[in-house]
Parts: sequence; C-alpha cells; structure tokens
Amino acid sequence: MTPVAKRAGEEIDFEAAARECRPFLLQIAVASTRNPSDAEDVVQEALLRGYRGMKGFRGDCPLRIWLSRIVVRVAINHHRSVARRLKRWVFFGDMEFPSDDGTIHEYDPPDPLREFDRERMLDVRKHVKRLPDEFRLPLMMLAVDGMTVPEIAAVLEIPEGTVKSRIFYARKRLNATLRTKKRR
Amino acid sequence: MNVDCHWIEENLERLAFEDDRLAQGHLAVCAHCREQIESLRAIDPMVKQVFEYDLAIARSPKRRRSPVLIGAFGTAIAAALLLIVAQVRQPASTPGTPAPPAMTSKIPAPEPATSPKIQNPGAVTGRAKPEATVPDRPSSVPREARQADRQAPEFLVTDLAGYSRTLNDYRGYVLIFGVWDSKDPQTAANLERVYKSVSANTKIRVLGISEDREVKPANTTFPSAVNQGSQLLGGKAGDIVVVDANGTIAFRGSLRDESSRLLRSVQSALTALGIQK
Repeated sequence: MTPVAKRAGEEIDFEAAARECRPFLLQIAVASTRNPSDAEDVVQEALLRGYRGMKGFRGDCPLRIWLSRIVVRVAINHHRSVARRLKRWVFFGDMEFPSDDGTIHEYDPPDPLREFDRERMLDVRKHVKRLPDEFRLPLMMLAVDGMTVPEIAAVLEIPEGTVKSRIFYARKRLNATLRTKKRR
Repeated sequence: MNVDCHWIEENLERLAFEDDRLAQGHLAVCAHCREQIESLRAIDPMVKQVFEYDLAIARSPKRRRSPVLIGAFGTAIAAALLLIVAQVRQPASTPGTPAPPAMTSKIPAPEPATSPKIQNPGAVTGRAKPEATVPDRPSSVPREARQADRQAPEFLVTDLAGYSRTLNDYRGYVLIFGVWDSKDPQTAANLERVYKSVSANTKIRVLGISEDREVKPANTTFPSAVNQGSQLLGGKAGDIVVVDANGTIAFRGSLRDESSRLLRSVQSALTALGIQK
C-alpha cells in the first residue's frame, strides 16, 4: 500500500485514495471499536468526515494515517454514543447473523494445524474489550498488518515512548487478569 | 551490572533479551522470571487472534436490520390477528340486528325524562331510583333486550300523606294504576269501578294517579297519589296500566273506554297473570 501524500499544488483523488485505504482503515476500525460489527459503519462515517474535512489535511503525514486518526475518533465516539448503545440493546446489534448461504461467518484460523482454543480466545477478547481505550487501542493496533510503534504513535498522536509503555501496561494487565482467572 | 529478578522486573518491557547474555543467564536459572516473560510474550499472539476474529466479524455480511424487520413483521401480523379475532368475536357477542331500543309495538315508548323535578336531586327521596334507562341500555341478547324493554320504567309518585312510592314498593303485587283526568270525570269513575272489582284481592294494589295535586273526585275510594314528574311507564292522563309482580307491564288500556269493556279487558289481563277474581 502506497501512502497517498499531499504535495504542494497536487490535487488528491479522494475516491481512489479512500478505495485504496479502505482495507487498512477497516483494520484500524476493528482495532478501535469494541463492537466489530460497527467497523464498516465507522469507516464509512470516517471517510465521509474525511471527505468533508479535506481542506484541513495539511499533507504532513500520509493520508491513511490522517484518515486513521478520524477512524479512531469516530470509533470511540460511536461506542460512547448512548443512542448507539440503546439501539444495540433494542435491535441486538451485537449478534452475528448467518449470511445468505446460511453459514455463520466466524473467525476461521488461517492454519488448521495451529492450535486454536476458541474459548480461550473469546475469554481473552472479553478481557481486551474491558481494557481502557488508551491501553486497548495501542495493543490492538499492534495486531494490524504492518502497523509499527511509530505509526501507532502517529495515529494516536502520542509519543512513541508512551505507546510502548501503554502496550506494556496493557499486556501486563491482561496477563495478570488471565493468570488470576487461571488460578481460580 | 547485576541481573536479578528485580532487574528483569524493571526491564520487562523489553521482552526480548536475546542480545543480553547476563539476562539470558538469569532466565536460564530463574523459573519465575522465565514464566513471567513467556506469559507476557503469549499475549500478543492471543491479541492477534482476537483481532483476526473481530476482523472476520467486521468483514462478514451484516444483516443487522433483519431483527428490526422481523419485529415489524411480527407486530404487523399480531395486530392483524388481533383485528381478525376482534372482528370474529364481535358478531358472536352482539346480535346481528340490534334490537330496537323502543318498547314493543304494544307498549308505546316512554317520553324522555324532561321534568326538572326529577333532575333535581332534592325532589327525589332516598327510595326513589333514577329515571329509567331501559331504552338506552345496550342489549347483548335479543331476548334480554326485549325483556328489558318491557321492563316497566321506574315511576315516582307521592301518596296523599307525602310518602314517595316507586315501582319497587309494589314488587310482589300486581299494580293497577290509572291516571285520571280531572277534566274527564269518566276516567275517575272507571278507575273506581276497576278498584271496586279487584279491591277484595290482596295481591292487587290500585293507585289513582293525578298529574297535578288535584282534589279527588267525590264518591271515589281508590288510593290516590300524585305524579312527581316521572314517566309513569308511559302512561298519560286517561290511561290505565297493569303491572305484574315483577314490574313488567302486562296490560295497557284507556280509562275513557266504556266501563264494562274496560273491566273485561282488565279482568282478562289479570287472568292472564294467573289472578282469579
């Protein structure tokens, strides 16, 4: 993926850029939002806001990082919105529904030989979702394809050292939670 | 540099100590530190799994609106069913052709209560009942409706002593009351004859009612009462009405008739009620 950077006097084809960035932005959205079924909506909303706010893009960072910042903000607001939460309660937005061919799309491990403990994974997922946003976001973003600590720092607009310490804190906390549970 | 558990704890953030031989040496001997580092290293792959799981959910086709649609359809169907049930049950509970609210053809419908006396609560004594609501009463069964229509509306009169009388006071007795007309002495005379003919029977009560407080004509002995603005079961001046023990109108005639014919018809009405002379 080539970063789309704005150069002096260069017009950006936003549609093409958005199409190119979309898979990456979806990953950022999945890492940022607590409800993955909202990720598509979050990306859509972020792209709309990005398109409207293109004038504010100074070109000092790759466009995908700039858009990622919007995605993170939208994702956090999306979750906080009381209306969304109510809607989720009422319409069971958290549920997974079978697709048209009747199969339920679940996470399918890429390597069937790899040991995959689904229950353990869901347990970890539950605890990851419980982490505060500032620790959860860097930890999840590290799992995004090709994301590095400097990039996370750029997206979250915090120093690299802070990203590292937050990731460490998140790991430690998660480890402690899982170990306590194991001991029980 | 002294590498011990404390040092490892402080530098745990590094996770990788491959290039640090001192740390490697400590980890080789300290099981606690080794376990701690391994468990921390295991976090990232687990988070990656979580991320991939979430990504699969995000990429899977969403049909989040379907519950809304299902709910809407369900509500619509339930509403339709309720309507159908209501439609089906309505004709069952009420007659197809509602009974006419008026009395049967034999008995003219009473006039609506328009008298200010009866509407004034002060004029009504404790024993008095409100004006008849029979014609307005909703009927669910035709037979009952007819019965209700025939049910004599309450009437309210005061006797000469000033006590008010309603139809309830005559329950258990056959009540014959005539509304005599002061302008037509024939009516009072006829009523007197009727009274004479039935006065021996203790099952029968006779009342001569005047619309106004008028002096009873001479040579009459029937008990007298004054109407208190009630409908008198639809009886007007010159009418004679026979009400059976249940308060149902059994006969309605005119006091202006020829006396022997009136007596005959009253007698036949009483016979029909099972009362012998």
